[in-house]
Amino acid sequence: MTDKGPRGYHDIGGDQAGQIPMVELPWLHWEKQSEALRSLLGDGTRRLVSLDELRRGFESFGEKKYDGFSFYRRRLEAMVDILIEKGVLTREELEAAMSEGRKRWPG
Amino acid sequence: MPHDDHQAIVVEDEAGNIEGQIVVNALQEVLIAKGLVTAQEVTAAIAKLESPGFHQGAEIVAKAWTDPAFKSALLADGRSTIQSLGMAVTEARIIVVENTPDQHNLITCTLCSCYPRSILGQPPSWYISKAYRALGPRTPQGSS
Amino acid sequence: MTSNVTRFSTGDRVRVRALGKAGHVRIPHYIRGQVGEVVQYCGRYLNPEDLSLGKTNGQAVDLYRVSFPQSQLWSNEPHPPQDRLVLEVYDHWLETQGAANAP
Repeated sequence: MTDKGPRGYHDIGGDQAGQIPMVELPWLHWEKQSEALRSLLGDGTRRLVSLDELRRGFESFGEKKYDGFSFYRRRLEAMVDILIEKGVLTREELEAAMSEGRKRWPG
Repeated sequence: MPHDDHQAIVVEDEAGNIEGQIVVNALQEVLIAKGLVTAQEVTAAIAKLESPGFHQGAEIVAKAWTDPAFKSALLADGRSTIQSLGMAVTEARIIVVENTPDQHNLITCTLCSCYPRSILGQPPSWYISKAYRALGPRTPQGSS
Repeated sequence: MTSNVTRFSTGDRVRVRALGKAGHVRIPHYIRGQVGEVVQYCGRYLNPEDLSLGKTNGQAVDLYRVSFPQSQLWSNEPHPPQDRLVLEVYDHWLETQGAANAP
């Protein structure tokens, strides 16, 4: 087979893999909130983060970051990356809000 | 480049889930401050995401089993037929395939776990796992 | 300018091109270079490669469902000869089977 061109680390169809996990994980509140924000930001009035841009986002993490995050965390981080790329917000603004947020968690 | 050792599914531990909550709360706060979303909109959007689910799939299948005209319409044009049940469909197109005694179908999105979320809600954990994305196309008769 | 004429029709044998394109594409690695049969025309959609960059004013592209024998895709494993993999492929990723100018 001739050269198939570049392959993204997300492009795993046909790879070897272990057992398909039959665990059923709960859909957590932060995950729903993240998906809700993405759907609002992608809607007709805002058009800030489309699903296509979101995919490009997590396909651009680099393999280590992609492999380290769960499915919904990847989508949340991709949304953040796209918003920063577009100048909607800055990493500093987000981290300042996160810093404040951390104070509200016990321990 | 070998891609042979994907972790079957990455699950956040407690610290990871706390971090996820911190990130999304901070993001929402910044977006609200910039007037891009409101808290009420987020609440409504969450409710909208929670409303579809597996039960809708069961309803569609049951109707296809009992109503041949519906089944034909469903196989010809999934989206408008499902909409005719009063279900919202946001995907551009829905293709429905039928399992028969001679043919079984297995659906996967190897690149990103696409799924008809507006109809069926969020996919099961096994569907979004890396193991399923990797194995789906080549071992449809199933390892386990 | 719209046209109902598509490059490919149901039943056509097509090869998936290896376009060598970096960035967001929707054609998995395992299918590139493979020959299959067009089984359904899906309509015309904006190109996800453009949409991933926020470009929403590009040309819509024809999309086809293409069927491949599993025994051909995974030739070093046993697969029942009747098993098929069906995948949606955009027009610019397809060429007639046996095209002389494969990239």
